[in-house]
Amino acid sequence: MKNNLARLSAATFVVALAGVSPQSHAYRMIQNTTVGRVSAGAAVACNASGGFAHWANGNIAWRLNTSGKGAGKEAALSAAAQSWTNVSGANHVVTNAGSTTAGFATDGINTVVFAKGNGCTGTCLAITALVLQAGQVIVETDVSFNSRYAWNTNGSAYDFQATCAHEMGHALGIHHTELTGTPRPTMYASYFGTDGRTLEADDAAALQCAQSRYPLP
Amino acid sequence: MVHRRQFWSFVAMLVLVAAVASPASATTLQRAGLDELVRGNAIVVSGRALDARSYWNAEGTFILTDITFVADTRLKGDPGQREFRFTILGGTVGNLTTIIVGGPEVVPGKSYVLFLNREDLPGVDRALTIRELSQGIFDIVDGPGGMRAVSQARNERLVADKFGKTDPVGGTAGIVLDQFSRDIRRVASGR
Repeated sequence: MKNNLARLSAATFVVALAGVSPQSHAYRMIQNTTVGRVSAGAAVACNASGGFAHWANGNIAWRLNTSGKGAGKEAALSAAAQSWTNVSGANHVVTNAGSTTAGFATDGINTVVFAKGNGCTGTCLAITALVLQAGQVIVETDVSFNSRYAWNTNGSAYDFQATCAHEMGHALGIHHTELTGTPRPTMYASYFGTDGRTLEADDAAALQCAQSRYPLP
Repeated sequence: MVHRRQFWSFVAMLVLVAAVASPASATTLQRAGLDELVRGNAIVVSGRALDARSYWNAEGTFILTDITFVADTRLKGDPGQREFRFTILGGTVGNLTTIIVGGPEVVPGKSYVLFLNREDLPGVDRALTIRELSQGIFDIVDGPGGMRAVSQARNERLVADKFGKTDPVGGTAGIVLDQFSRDIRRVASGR
């Protein structure tokens, strides 16, 4: 029995060394400090050495490409954007700046577009690209929704507003939360229907973390 | 003796899970089972990434990266040559980096199992690419039972498939590579 306890202690220690120690915050930020590799962004804590992706300009205007399945989704896009603007003390103003014909391209326009290509095919429902300058400063972001799937604003799956709010969170430099209980944050790591339209405290804390580390006026 | 070996195998498994569970990503992907991965992609290989070269596409609208890959084992289809190239979204050119949240991560020198298909990328039609993004690439790592294939979608935002499953193929601990290879060949042959 004693031997088993000693082994269990050793195992716990080894696992802790491997990085499973408890975290004080559940939200995570997107970090890209890699050189010479293609990165999807690592999930890090707010105080991580190396920092994380963030905006230097807090006015983040999205435009909706209304062709195809983009038609009739303006209000849902506005609502998703507004939910992030409403985070108190975060100084990020996220808006729907109107329609565009721009696509999934690095062109200075933050675009939401519906398409059957853009590298989002097969099981990909939506893809988010972040364009960073030195210092992990986000200068542009685009989201491409796979138009082979149904995107709805009436509450049936898949809910455009909830998914849009989630992808906008990534566009703000926020990764998936490690919270697993309810109510689920919008940045929860799985689609969970229209409840994802509403930000939770953990989502707000993530954006407030960005503001505390990289203050915007 | 047997108990002690089992115990330390369990510890090794815990360490493996902890070690591979950190890097993560996003985007929104529907969970793809092994059948879907194999049938939805023309080429499946295991091997090693040799080189990565990022560039702007011909229209100058998107950064892409060409990966030079050497296939040690062909599991389905034929890439043409043992050493071949495929293209993925994102990369770094000059002072700009495009990251694809939920995209594949490829590091030259490391080994992977890849599920490849020809798809349209920004500015490139029918490019050989990892169609399923992070679900279509498995890191090959040393672990309990030998080399294991671990999906890069282990921390991904996966939408439940028709069976209600949300975990990537192999889960966070992955699958023993030999078994994974046999499973892929079995599905590819239709048996």
